[in-house]
Amino acid sequence: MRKLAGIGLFLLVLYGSLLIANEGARSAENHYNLGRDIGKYGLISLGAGLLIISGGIDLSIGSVVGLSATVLVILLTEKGWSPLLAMLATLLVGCVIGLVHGVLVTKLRVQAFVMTLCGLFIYRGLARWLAGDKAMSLGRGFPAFWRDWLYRSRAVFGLPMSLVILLVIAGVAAVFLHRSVYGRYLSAIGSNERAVRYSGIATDRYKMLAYVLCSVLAAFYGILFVMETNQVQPSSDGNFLELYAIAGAVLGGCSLRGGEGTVVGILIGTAILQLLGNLVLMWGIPSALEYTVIGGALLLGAILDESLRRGEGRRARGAKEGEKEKQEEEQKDHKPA
Amino acid sequence: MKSLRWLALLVVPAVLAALPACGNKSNKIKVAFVSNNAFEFWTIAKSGSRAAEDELGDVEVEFRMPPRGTVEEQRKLIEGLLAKGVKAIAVSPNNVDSQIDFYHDVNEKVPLLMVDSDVDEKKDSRALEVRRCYLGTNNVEAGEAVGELLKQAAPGGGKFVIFVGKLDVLNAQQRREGVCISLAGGRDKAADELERVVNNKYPARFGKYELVDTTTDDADQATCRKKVDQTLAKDKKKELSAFVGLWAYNPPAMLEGVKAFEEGSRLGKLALIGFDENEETLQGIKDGHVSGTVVQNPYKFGYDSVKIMSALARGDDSILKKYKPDKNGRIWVPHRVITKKNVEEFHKELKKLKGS
Repeated sequence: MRKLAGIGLFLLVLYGSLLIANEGARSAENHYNLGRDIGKYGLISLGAGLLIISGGIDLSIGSVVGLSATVLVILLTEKGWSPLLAMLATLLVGCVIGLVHGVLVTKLRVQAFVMTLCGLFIYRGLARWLAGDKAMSLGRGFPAFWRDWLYRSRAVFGLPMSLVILLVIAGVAAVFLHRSVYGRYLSAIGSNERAVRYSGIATDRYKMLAYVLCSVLAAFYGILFVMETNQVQPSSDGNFLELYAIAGAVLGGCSLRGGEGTVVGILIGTAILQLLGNLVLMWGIPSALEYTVIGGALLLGAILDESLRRGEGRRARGAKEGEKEKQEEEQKDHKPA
Repeated sequence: MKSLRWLALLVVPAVLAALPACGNKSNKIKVAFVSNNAFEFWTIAKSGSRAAEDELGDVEVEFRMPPRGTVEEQRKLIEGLLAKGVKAIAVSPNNVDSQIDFYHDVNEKVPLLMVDSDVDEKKDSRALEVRRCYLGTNNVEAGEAVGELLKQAAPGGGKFVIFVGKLDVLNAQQRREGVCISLAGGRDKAADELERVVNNKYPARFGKYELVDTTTDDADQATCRKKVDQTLAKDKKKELSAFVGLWAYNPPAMLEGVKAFEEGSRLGKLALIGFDENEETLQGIKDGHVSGTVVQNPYKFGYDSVKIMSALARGDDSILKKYKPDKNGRIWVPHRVITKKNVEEFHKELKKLKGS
């Protein structure tokens, strides 16, 4: 938990500066908006994080979101499917994509980076082709029930539903990752895959699971996206989301080398990213500087985090080295001059 | 190293705490302008809004240009601005047909203006009620002006290609429609072939002219340039007689591509017709490489919308009458045609507006 101190502190500082920005920033409305965005983005960061912990990477998240949102809208409008069935089918699309990634990476040994980068192009093109390169709208005939339930509902303690969903999924993921032996395998694969394989564990299966989870969560984001915006623009919706997902996970302490990372960390990382976007607006920072401020603040956060960790490491090491030196000196004293 | 660490700990909160202090904490009425992307076009609108802000003195304008310009981003911005307490919003909406409910809710909270891109009342009868007024170019008419330029540049007719960012944006559809209507010599004469074009069926004939393709590039100039190169390379018999670019960065990409192709052998033979006032487009007109361009008046978009917003935010609805909207609440800001004749004069004026 000490590892989270740096980003936790950073999150608090950011939140503090949001509260002093202006009245609007403190309003319940703004908090609700923030919570909803954290809920949505947290889902894909969680997917990306679990995958990164297992030593993989997925650059196609944004395109998977775009494709699944497109599929959902087509099923609901042109095909006239029932909402529940269409949503399940959309999740299935994510599942199949993840499975394809997993199989190609583990069995055909395609590099994850290459595989998912190709995916980024393939799914984007597919989405545009399926939609005839046009924006598609759910229209006004869509039954409000699902939209209300997934997007507008405040049924659980007044919280945005996407945040509630994220917290439930994150809870399950935390138990899986930190408390179950399977989760241990997953992060062990990320640290040293060969060692895990030599201990007789079917590593491929766990890696595939991570890819499937990542893509299914991306498809789920696609569903929430359609419920929120009532439409999909296949050519641009979801663009760059993979970068937000990966940034959230890495900021939250997932090492790109694999094997490291916590669910709580990913949630904090996501919250920081969303908070930064909100701060830019609340402080009235010019649009042109927006990305620079976000990038700069993230860098500062990363430096702060790293230096805190290093300090801790040095203190621990320092204590050991001190003892060693003492022993050496004692030995010297014993040696005859 | 240790001191550096503590420095980092101190600097981060200090910087963050200092930033909000930069914000203007006055009692001015806050209004907001949300564009649909971050192109230069909106920078001109921004300087118009600043001019109105200075003139009025009691208004503060938040001018936001979402970098990706997706529906999701625009919604997020508008919700944030509402939470922040702005009293009126002007927006250039993306995919507005799907957002009728959203904008309806926004308009219930604060007066909402649509700029540059409007609702389509044919698709939704309630659409006109989700905004107080529309301010922008009549894109069909502006498209017709493009068609006229094409007729002048290639009087003998021939094959042409249209380049545009995205076809799911209304102004792209309307401008293309205008071009086709003008070439065919009337809406009725264009109707059947236009139907084919809308359904992505090519080629389509409009009078003496044949539209070979509409090429999209996802609002990316480099992609457009690549597609220009491909189109030129594919045209082995050199049958094409004109390129039409309907979004601001399309004409420069067309110009660069034609200049680079076979050492500029097609330059002057292939008519280039543009839209909007990109620097390279204007230079191309001066050099005689671009036949002409149809420009909108984004400065006036920004200026007028701030004036209207500030009055509406104070409950003064009579302001709308002064701008003489049509029966559907549309205030047309006239377009202008720029050719070699008036390009110098226009360029000077533009530089002044952009503040350079």
